[in-house]
Amino acid sequence: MTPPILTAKDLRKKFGDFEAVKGISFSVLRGEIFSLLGPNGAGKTTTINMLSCLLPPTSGTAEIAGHAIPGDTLAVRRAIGVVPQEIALYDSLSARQNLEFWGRLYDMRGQELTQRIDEVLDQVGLADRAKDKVKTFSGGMKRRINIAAGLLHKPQLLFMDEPTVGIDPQSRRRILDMVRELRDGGMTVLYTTHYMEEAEELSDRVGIIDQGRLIALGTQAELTRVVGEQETLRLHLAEEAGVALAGVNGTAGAPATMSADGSVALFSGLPGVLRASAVDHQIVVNVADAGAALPAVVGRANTAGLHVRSVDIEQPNLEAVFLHLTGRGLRD
Amino acid sequence: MMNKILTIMWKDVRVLFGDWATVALIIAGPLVLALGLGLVTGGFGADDGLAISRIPVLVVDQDGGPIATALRDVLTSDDLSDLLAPEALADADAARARVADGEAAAAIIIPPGFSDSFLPDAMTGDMPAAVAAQVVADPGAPIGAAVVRGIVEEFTARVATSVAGVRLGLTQLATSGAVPPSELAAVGQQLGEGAFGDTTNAAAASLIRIDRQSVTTTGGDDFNALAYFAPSMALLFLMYAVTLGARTLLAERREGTLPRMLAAPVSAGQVLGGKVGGIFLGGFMQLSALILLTTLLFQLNWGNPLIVLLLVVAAALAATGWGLLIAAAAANAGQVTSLGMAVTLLFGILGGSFVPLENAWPALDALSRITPNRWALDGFTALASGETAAVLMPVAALLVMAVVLFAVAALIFRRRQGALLTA
Ligand SMILES: Nc1ncnc2c1ncn2[C@@H]1O[C@H](COP(=O)(O)OP(=O)(O)OP(=O)(O)O)[C@@H](O)[C@H]1O
Ligand SMILES: [Mg+2]
Repeated sequence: MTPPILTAKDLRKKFGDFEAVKGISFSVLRGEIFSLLGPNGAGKTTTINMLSCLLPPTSGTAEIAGHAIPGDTLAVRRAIGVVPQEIALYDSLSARQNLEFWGRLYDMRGQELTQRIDEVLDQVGLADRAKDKVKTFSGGMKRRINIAAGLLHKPQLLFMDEPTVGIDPQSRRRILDMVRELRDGGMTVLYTTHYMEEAEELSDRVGIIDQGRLIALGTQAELTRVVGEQETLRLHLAEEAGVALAGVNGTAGAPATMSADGSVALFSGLPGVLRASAVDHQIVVNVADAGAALPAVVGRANTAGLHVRSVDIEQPNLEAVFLHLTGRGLRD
Repeated sequence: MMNKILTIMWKDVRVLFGDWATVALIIAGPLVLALGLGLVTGGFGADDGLAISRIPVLVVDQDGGPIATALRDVLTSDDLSDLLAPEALADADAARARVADGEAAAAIIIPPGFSDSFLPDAMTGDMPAAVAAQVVADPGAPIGAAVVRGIVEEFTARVATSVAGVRLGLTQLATSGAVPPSELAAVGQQLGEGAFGDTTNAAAASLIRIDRQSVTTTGGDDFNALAYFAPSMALLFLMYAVTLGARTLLAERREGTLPRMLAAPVSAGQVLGGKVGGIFLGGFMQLSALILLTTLLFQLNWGNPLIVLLLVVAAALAATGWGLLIAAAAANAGQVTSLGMAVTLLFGILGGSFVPLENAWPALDALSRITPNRWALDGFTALASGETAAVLMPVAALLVMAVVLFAVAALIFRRRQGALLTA
């Protein structure tokens, strides 16, 4: 088995009385893409900040490329590259000037730096905009330069903290392809996201993080096994699920309500239905056998007057795993 | 080690000067204001109610030659009578003593050999070593001293230009062969005497008429007020420039670039060193640019360049100290801006950037000494009056101010370092 490049042991971080990270342990293997998947406020950034030596852990330790945290933080910072969640660039400098600056901080100079800047600009597809000020860039272009700045010194391990937040689908596509190319080129990537699809598409292994705890860890196949043979019915609604439910009538045993954590009671008691929860314009229903449960679920929705536009049948996925483990959707 | 600090400093300078609006504000702003204020207050003795009493000036003529006489005539001319109250004195030391006592704004000492130094050697056409008229200025009357100095400079420059014309004529005559080399000396003598030999001579009279005009229009009015307002506006905007620099200390934390630097193999000390150095370098470059520009555009004489440099460094360091203290005291970038603006204006007023206050209220005079503006302005005034030794005190005061402010800011930063350096 490949050796780990990163090992975190019981990392904790307290901000005052609030414990944002409550003892997280995991390893990242050399050459893999490891995703930390979790909703907003789960503690992903706090974990990354501890691993990139920006925040001292309240307790716990980590080892990166053979160097200890806390302790050998300078060597750790040399080994890693960081792509922060918030775009951290100088707006009034050009893309190239920005990259020159960040490259110099990683001890690169002269010809080597110039060549490397050309390479990463090519890699992120912005070679033709090198001379333009970053403030003239779209959100997606800024994100790509933000990534380029973390790649310059060819780190062994790259931290990417939600690098696709708030950008257009093309830029997102491009970034996801790039992450895979980086892995194929030999880089190890620790990737955080709250998009289940991204974690599924990219990751060799996934850690699911929620409220400061790592609640599941493994390959996608391993994780979905947790859910058992469950399948998912995804009901697409015309309106936001909460709004739609408020406008329909349930029954005594199955009221058309939605609780604070997003779980929906409308389908309770139907054979084969395990749980249901609302996510955006959808109601996600976990069932033992999709084919068997479909007629009853659709029937109950019709009776209640819920306007269902379409229904997807899905094999077990990470969303279902998260739902199974927490009783909530990822994006609530 | 040093490399990373320099990298961060240079980046900050690029950010500061990379924004045209900022450049316009901190470079063009003071230029325009200095010119404007120079024009407004430059009407000295005129009918515009802003009447400043005539500037008392002592004239010691140890030369007695034709050009010294011409200078004295200019100073006592009708054109300058609203502006100057000249008094002839025989003894240079007595004149210096009276200036030191504040009885006169300046003394002009015309040393022996002054007139001859303008006349080219009749044989070779070469110029003798310059013998400059000395202006002893009262630091307590910066405007008056600057005006006197300006008049003397303008006069000297005029004469020198005419001399250059004579020389050129001689050279042409010789190279064209129109005059045989043996007669060159005699012709040179003639030309020289034609121009300067006698104040009643028509050529000399016209030269001096031109002088009077230039002195009273450009020389006497805005030009010398500019000599005061150029440094004072430059210093006012120096405080603003360091405010902009200090602001980035907190803005970079908020925008995540400061944490990103700290995630690179760079120590917290290097990051802070680079940021502080960047604030300093930005201020230093702004002040230097203004000095260069006013020298080129308005022929303003700032004095001995090396000592000007020393004073600029000291002023930029002291201003940086204030910038750091403001950043240390402010909770966020917005507060740095508003606090910085307030301090910039307050220091400008106290430090005499708009009007010299020191004679008005003694209490304000004492208070003005906490501002870098006041010390640096004293320094620049002394330098422009050629009193190099008098610059030492302002330079020393500015350096002490810088050290104290750096120490205080460091203490405050240390206390809130956790908050400052991490996101
Ligand atoms: N400096 C801080 N002081 C106090 N609380 C903090 C601080 N940083 C983070 N937190 C809190 O810690 C929790 C975890 O935050 P963190 O930023 O690590 O979450 P995240 O998983 O990265 O979320 P997101 O997807 O929104 O980026 C949140 O509740 C947040 O409010
Ligand atoms: Mg985050």
